[in-house]
Amino acid sequence: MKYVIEMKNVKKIYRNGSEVVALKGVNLKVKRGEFLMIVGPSGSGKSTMLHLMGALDKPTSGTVKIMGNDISKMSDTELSRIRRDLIGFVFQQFNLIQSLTVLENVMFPMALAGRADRKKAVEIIISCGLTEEHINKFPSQLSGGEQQRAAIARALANDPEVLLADEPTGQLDSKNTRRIMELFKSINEEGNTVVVVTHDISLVSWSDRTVILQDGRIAAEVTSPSPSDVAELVSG
Amino acid sequence: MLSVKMAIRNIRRRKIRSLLTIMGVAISIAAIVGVSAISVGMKHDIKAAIGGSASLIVKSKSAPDPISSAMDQSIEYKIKKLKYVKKVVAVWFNNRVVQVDGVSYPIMITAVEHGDYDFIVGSKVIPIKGHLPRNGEIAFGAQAWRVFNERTKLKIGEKVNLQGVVLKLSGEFKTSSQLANMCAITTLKSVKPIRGNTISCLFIQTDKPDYVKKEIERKFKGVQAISTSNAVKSMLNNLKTVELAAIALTSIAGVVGALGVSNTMLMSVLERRREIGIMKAVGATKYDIMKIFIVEAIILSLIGGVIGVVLGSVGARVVIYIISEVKGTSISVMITPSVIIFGIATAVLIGVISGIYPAWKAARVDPVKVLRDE
Repeated sequence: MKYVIEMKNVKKIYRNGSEVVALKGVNLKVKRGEFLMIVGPSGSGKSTMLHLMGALDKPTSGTVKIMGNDISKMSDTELSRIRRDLIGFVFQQFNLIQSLTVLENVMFPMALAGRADRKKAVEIIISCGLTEEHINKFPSQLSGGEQQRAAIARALANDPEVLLADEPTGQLDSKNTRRIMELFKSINEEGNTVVVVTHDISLVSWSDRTVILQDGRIAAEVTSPSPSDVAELVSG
Repeated sequence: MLSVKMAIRNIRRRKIRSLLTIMGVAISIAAIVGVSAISVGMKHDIKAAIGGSASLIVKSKSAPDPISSAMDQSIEYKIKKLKYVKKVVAVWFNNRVVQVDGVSYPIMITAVEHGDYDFIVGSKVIPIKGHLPRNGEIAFGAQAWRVFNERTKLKIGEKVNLQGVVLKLSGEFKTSSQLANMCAITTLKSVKPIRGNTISCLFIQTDKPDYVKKEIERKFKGVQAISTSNAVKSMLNNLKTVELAAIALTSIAGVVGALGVSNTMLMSVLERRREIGIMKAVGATKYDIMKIFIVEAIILSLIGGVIGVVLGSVGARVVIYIISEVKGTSISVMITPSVIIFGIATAVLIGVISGIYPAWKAARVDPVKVLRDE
């Protein structure tokens, strides 16, 4: 399969008292092994797009296919399975489970899938740049950068088809931002598909392709982008 | 395994709240265990009071009960010869004012052959001081011993005047039947000067009580054979009503305990909405989430259950002890394995029932809503 994710004419409307149209017809295909970045100002629909790509939510109209599976036709349980087996999520707030250690956090998605493997979990944690002494610590005992590494390790636990990251460096300083982006790059170079959502234009040069989202629509698309190219497109 | 770890850590993280919830469950389980232990004890006492290990009791037809019955002992040897009769024990009951060291007290005397004490009580008769009485001797049950000992210092070997015969005090005994503990026991031969050839009744062991009962009543005029299982059944039936009322009242305690767990779990779900959203985002299904919260509710209740079983066992003993101090009579409190299992099983049930609604609430948390609140 060439495309990991296919979005076709996707609309998403939130009805919560008032009506908010978050996506106004988006078409996007994510190739296997690609490092894609989605940039745009806040409120442009970036997170909504990521939630749809990650089977957390269903589109109001249009289709979203993850590895060929049309998510709008799936039950909640089936969506959970898609997230568990095909998707790895990384969040801005790290979102580790506070009552579990680093190792247990990584083993949690494995246990959900019924294949908890301590040895493999430790290998993933080490490959994400943490050391043996971190694995039995609780999230509250780690720095922001370390927590994000643990969260990335958790996202990789079940060998997902695609790693989805929502503002993964939003809480980090420039040194840790660089390190986390290097980690994403190396994960991508090992053949994993990576999609990063950010409002930080300076990061776009890490990606193979950048999509600029504005007001619920894809405004532009740049391959092998530089920050200045993108800045121009955003302001223009 | 992870869900158990998470549950224990979450319980420990909110110490005061968990402790209050656990105590709620513990108190309700204590009430349930206490009432069950007393009810099992009462049943045991009734069974012991009606015939011990015997399956039939033979008494004179005119007497209202075996204790006030009187028969000639010669019938014992005749009944022994009947088909299917395995064992016949002659018993002589007598309510008598007994005198020790100038102190008088009315007491129930039970006389049988030396080896038959366990048989008529229906459980082991254990000497706690001295030995079980042989001919010419008498022993007091623990309750009776205490009543005498409050007024005069009892010594083994001292004279016990039964108004008609004087016996030697051989010791003090204890049984699981509180009724027997209020009696004095001796041998038939020791009280021969008082009773002559009279006995109160016969305790009979047989595998065919219906046949033997018919045979006895056909062959011997003026006697009646009572099947102890029927007598016990009718007594237990009367007790059932009381027992049901007690269970209904203690289930209120169970409901209160369950409400406590439910409330704690609901608060936990509200506080952990974000965590639930994350667990769903990384692939947990509704059922995975429900399992995590029900496991936590069960663990909370189970801890409460274990404490409750201990509390209830001690509590029931203390309550019955106080009642026996005040009233002078006592009943047994029996903490049998089934009472303990019943207590623990009730605790688990409380956990499951009180965990279902909070778990269902947790399973319905929308991960997108939670994550959008970032």
